[in-house]
Amino acid sequence: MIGGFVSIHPMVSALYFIGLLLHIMWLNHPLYLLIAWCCLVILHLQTDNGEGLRSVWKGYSMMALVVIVINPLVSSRGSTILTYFRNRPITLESVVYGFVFALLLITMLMMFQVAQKVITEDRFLYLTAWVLPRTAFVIVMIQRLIPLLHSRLQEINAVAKTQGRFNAANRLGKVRVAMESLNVLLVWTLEESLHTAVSMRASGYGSSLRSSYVRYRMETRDYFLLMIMGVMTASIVLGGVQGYGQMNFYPSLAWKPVHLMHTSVYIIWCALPIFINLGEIIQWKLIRLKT
Amino acid sequence: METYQVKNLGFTYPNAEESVLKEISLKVNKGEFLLIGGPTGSGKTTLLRLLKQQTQPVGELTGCIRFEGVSLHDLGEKESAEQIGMVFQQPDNQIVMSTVWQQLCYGMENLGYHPTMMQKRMAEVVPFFGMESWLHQSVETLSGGQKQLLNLAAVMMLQPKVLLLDEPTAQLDPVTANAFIDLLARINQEMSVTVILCEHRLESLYPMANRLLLMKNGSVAYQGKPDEISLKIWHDQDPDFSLYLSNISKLYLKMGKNTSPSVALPMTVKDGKRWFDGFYNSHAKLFKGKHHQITKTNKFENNQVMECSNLYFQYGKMKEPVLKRISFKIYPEEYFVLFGGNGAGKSTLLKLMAGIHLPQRGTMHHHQSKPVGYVAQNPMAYFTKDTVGDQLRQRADDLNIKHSNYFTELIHEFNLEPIMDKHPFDISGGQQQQLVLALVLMADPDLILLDEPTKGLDPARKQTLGKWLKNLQLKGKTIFMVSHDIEFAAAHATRCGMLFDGEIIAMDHPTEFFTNNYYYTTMVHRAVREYLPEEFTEEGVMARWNDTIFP
Amino acid sequence: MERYYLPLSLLVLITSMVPFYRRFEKKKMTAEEIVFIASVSAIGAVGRVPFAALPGVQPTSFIVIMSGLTLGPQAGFIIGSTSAIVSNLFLGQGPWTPWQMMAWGLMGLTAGLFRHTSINKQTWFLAFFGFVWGFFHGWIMNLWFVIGFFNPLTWQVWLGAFAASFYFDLSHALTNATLLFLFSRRWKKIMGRMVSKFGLLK
Repeated sequence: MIGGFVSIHPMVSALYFIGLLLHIMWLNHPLYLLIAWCCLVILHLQTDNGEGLRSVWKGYSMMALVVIVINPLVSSRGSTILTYFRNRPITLESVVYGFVFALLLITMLMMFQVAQKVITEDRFLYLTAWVLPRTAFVIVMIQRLIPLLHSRLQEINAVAKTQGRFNAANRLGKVRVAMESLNVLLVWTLEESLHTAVSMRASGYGSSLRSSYVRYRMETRDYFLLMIMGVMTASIVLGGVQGYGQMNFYPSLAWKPVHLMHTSVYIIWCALPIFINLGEIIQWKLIRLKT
Repeated sequence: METYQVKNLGFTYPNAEESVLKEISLKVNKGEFLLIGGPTGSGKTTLLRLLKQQTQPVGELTGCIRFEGVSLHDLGEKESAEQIGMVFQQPDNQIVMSTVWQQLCYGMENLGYHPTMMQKRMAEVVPFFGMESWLHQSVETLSGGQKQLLNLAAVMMLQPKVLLLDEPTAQLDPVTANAFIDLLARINQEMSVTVILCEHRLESLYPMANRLLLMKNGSVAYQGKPDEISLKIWHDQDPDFSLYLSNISKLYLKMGKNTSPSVALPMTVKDGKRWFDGFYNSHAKLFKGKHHQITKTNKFENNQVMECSNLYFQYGKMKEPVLKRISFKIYPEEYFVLFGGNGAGKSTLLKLMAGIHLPQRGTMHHHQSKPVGYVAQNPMAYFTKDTVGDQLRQRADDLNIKHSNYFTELIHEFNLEPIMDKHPFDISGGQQQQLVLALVLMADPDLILLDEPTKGLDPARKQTLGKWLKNLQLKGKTIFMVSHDIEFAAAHATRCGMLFDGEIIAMDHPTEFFTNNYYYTTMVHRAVREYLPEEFTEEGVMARWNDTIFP
Repeated sequence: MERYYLPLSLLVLITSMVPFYRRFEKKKMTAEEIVFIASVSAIGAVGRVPFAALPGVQPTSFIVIMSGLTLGPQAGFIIGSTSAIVSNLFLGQGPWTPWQMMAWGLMGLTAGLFRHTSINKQTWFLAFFGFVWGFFHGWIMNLWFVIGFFNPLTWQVWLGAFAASFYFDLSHALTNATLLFLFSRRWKKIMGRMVSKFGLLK
């Protein structure tokens, strides 16, 4: 998708994801985690048809499995003993702990995955520049250098091949050959960088306080979204402080009964990007109908 | 008021015995287009870099430089960045940001411009340079010419009063170089921006330059209008600068000077043709009709060095083929020059021949048991050691020829003794090329492949390279180079070819090759082709000229 | 309380990096310094390319250690942690990003502490230093997972985590040791020459 949630101001989407991350880590009731998980699956499908998810779900599942299996094995806390494993009690609480935290882990990783699709490199750097302008500048310079260094490495390898510098029999020999390429690249790149520094000074680097060209502007809908997000966060935090949406595991499982209002707000929070995307789709349909 | 006023300028680099600039005095008027020429090491780059405080090298400076009446030292950093724009030789080294629009904003960001202002400037400059279609591309996707245009555009964003350019087209192919120069001329004409330009390829620049400055050993050798200087150089028979005369001017001066004094010195093809048309029509009888035929038969007809048949190459499974149906033979002792536009696949073909890439289809036979020598475009890729001597000895060790005469001969031939203890990066570009040639020749290859060896060389250096290569050819080696340098090929090649869209289009003896081409031919041929269609060099035309009749 | 270990550790981690980045942002730096840092980090990022034929061998840590040794702790930290951000731009950011920044940042920083000592002339010492850091790096990278998702944090859990990443860490450690033992002299010479050419020692 090009429009929809992907197109809102990076600051707003970053705040949204930070909020979501904190909610996920804090409100660990399985129901809440399931809600977040479902919404993230839908958001993944909306953003890139789930392609990003397809390549990583195996790794995620492995990590989750480790959490599920290891927790009951190492924990002897909890009051409801299910069975014994090598003379160690396996408790219901620790089993549930494992499952809940596995779900938390997967939800969190999925959130990072989708956040990268929404906050593209450009947006990421824009945000970084806002907090750390010089760091962002250095990262852009590195981004520019990487393809250049790749092509230099190709040239170095081509020459190495014709100069017979490429023949290595064993592993150590191969390391030497690779390192020689890297040596040449280091000297070459730093020598050329000297010219870059002169050219940077020529175009006024360091002569005044740097400003930054702003490609992203806050629009009315961004302010509107911010406002909604503020109100929702306040109510979610208010309920959370009272203990809603959370689960305690030890000594025995305990949670407050579901608060309909609190859960509804949480659902809306998690589904916010989905609604924005749907709104965009409906809008296009409407435009097509009208014209 | 002048843009620049330079008085008794001298400059010495630290630890150097001799100063690079001596007592230079110079005035540059507002809106002027000043062209600076001179061999490498004559101090022109140093002079240019001294004209802006932020690019001044470390060293001892004497004399004074005034910019618009103010001493350069008193000009604020911000003003200096805005008013004095600078473009350097290597397009890649000047690009700091990763996308085109970022790079365009970069200078303005340095100076703390307001975003609205940046947008306005972008809206003006981008259409002027015709960059709309690549504005959002990442820098790595651009060609060298586009990169250099980007550098010029980025400088123009700050609305400079003067542009300093240090061999900006040296690394570009002729087509993009001309596009760059044309834009520069427009900026000079339409915005009245003062231009100070250092270049080696002066011929195409003479028409737009108001003034020419030729430097030698840190001093000004000539200063004035390009045609006046050309006449003076001809008159003095100055050996240092005779190479800087355009071939058309030389032709005119050799044959026509006495006969038609009323015509101004022709320097361009257009002027040259106009003069030659008139000259030929009034002196037609004095031209010999016969063209002396060069024997085309090759004595090694059945003994080729390399034979390629039906080569296909692509860089990836899903990529378009770069080379298609390439079939040709190279014979011993040839001096072959292959032409072709940007992205035609010249360098790729060279890499295939050097064994760096393998063709997807087709066969390639290198008929002798000797290795193939490969001289890449960038000498830097060869330097793994800290001194020139170590580099040479290492290679000799690898090849087991350290104690052979051949090794010492090579060092002597390429004049490397005086720089044996220097770091390969601290020697000049020409010396780096000499070092690479020596490294490549050490393996005693019978076929030497060169990737645009004349790029960025000054005329004298180019002539030396031509001589070296000719020598190698005379010693029985075969030269195969890809190049854009038509005049160089016309002077040296024994066969030429042209690559277009991955295919070899033409392959012929220089006479046929250059006289059949319309664009890919020498300036002299373009000027005389109507009357002497078989000639493409100044020597060739002179051979047809029966000057014995004339006093 | 254990439930909040993950957010808390992230918070501690990020705040502990603030002073380094604050100093980097506020310090007056020449174009040369910025270019040098960017170039070395970029070489760290593409460094794995020539080693493509050697699985498990990666020179990034070697480059981070060498830059710390030549440029000092502050620049070492910045080059190390920036390399982490940049490599994650391609491989994917996640909850591990701050930890990776910390791991490589500290690697560069501790290397920088030895800049003016005489012991850094001993290649065996550098090899040992790189070897140890191969394990430290792996352990720091394990932290977010262990702290965040296991309860209680018994010694068995820690041992299990170390055992799980042992081979990976060992190969990292051996790579570092080999590269530093064989090539640190050469790199020190090259970088030293460039540092003076860039005028960074003023």
